[in-house]
Amino acid sequence: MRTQILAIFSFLSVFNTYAQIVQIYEINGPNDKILINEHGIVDINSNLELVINKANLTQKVGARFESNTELILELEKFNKLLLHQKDILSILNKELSELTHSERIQKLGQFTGLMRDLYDIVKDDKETREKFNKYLQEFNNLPEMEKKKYNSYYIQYGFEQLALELKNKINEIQSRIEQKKIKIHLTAYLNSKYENFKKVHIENFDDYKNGEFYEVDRWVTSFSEADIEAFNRTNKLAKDLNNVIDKSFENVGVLIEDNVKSYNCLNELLSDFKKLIEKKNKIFTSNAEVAELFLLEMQIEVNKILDVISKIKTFNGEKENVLEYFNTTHDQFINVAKLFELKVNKLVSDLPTEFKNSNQEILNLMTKISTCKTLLLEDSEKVEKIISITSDILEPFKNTAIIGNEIGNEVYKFSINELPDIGYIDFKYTGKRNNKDNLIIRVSIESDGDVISQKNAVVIEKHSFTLQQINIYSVSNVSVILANPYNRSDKVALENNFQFAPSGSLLFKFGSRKCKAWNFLEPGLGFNVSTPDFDLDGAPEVGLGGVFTLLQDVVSVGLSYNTKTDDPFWFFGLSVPFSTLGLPINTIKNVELK
Amino acid sequence: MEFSENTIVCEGVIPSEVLARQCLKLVVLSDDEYLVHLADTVAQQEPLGFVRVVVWIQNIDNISIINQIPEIDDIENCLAFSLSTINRIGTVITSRSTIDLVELDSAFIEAGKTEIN
Repeated sequence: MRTQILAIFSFLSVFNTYAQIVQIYEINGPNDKILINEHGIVDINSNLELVINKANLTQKVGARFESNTELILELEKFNKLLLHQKDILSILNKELSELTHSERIQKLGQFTGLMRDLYDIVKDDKETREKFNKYLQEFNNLPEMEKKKYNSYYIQYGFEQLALELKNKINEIQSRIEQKKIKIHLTAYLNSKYENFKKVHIENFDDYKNGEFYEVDRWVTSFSEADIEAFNRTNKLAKDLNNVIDKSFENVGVLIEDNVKSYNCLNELLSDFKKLIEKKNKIFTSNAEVAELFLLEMQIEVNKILDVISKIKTFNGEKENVLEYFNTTHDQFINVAKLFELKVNKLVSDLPTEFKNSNQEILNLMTKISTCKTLLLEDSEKVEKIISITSDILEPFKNTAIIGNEIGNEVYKFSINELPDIGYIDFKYTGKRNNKDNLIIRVSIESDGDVISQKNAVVIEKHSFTLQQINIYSVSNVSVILANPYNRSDKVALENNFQFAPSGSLLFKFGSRKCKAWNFLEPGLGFNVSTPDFDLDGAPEVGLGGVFTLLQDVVSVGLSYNTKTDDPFWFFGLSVPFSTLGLPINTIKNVELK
Repeated sequence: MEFSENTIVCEGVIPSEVLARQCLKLVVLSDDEYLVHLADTVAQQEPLGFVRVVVWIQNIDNISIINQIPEIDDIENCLAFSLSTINRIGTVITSRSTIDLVELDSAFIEAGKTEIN
């Protein structure tokens, strides 16, 4: 009897918990399960158990048909009644004989509060009141031994009867759902830095293949090959930035100009146009007007390109922000270069054939136009590639165009009676992922007919969780820092207060299971190694020190010591969202760990 | 009609030995035997081990009862009232109340409030 009571008790408990269809537990051991719905944070390497509550599912699905309205209202009434049942039964089942009188009085007070809330609902509805009167009477007629098993009070017996009625009603709705041929699916997706809506396999619920095995390391004690590679990249970046600072931005223009190969070609082309226009009457015996018009229009197009390039040449770092400047000029350059190709092609194709082949100078001009066009296209592609690489490094959130609602054939479709009770997700088989990635679990339904809606599948419940390494863990990162030797020795030859330097850090962090704000701040404390060049001899020195980071390493500050020049220095790194600015400065890149 | 041992039938006032007991009480002033029967039914249930006692008073001496329970108000319209373990009023059942098992159990429940025990 006791077992039976407990079974029903647990049925009711499950039925009533937040009225959710899926209860999600993190499994840490055979007897160690944590309900994770509340805080929405889940361990990045964990196993999840997805428990389906068919009673709640029935209620939610059943509520979609008008014919069930009465039954659903009744179920809702039951839900209300069962709201306090867990607490009431837990007080009733407590052993009170060991308690003092005042402790017993306290328990009685708690019991009264809970029963009063229950009776408020009971007294409010005639039918429910009759039901409870019936339970009271039935209980009174039970044999004494039986009554004792219920702790000499009818309410537990009442809940049992209520549960049986509830079960019957649920069965009734379930059979109606069966008749309507409603199919139910459970799906999971991972939104990571690498991919959005990546399908995640739920055992028992779909046939997706497992992703790449990937366990996020808890302890990182050395720099990985990827770190070393990133360090080399930041080393070059730091050098370029120091160079830019030393020359007060003067050479930004030269730097870009040198790399834009079409510049000289276009300049030469422009002077050729001018020369040809000057001696047009000598060269073009016929079609002189066509030639002049062509050359003038070509001049206009070339000038547009040269305007953009000369903007780069005349850049003044004192008046403009180099990052904004970079953004606008690279955009302009790509657009103008593309338009140039189209317009030149049109102008050339519109020329009469006899004109194109009329003399050697025209032929030379055509060849030159073609060469410049090719160079310009190469430059344009080069700039686009730079931007693409930059944004790949800085903004790896490339969204793959997968429609989240799409439910493929790999997802099993169950009728309500066939639906498995439990599904499992093993994060280790979901491929690469990072802290703050987002797991979405959805319950959706579809029907053959028009019962639910015109859509094929309707989401009836959705859960969203943030992935997080829980407790202490360590990570490595590589960044560019601004170093300031505050106690300069003679060996320091810096003209500026700060010098850019590449740096690598090994950081200890703590991931919270409950506090999203803490995980957002993500403070980290650790060891930092950097390679400044305070004596400006071209050979990097080694700086060793400590670092504190915040906001997922966006802000870092630390103290370090230059082992060659014997100078202490403090440093900071500030990584702003460069994806919008376009230039990689001080971007701290968390490197994926093996 | 026979009642269980949890029901005491008395004359005039609430017996002092009943008031002295640290149990939950339901004092019935009405001469409605059915009400007493219902009260007796719920009194046989003792949640958390707190004894429930029904006191059915016949030939009521209103003034003496008011002296015994000064908190009682409008005794003329009162059919029954519940008392806590220290004889504070839990709830009052009047002619406007629905008389059934739920109402009477609820009266005993109200007598268990922390602030009156």
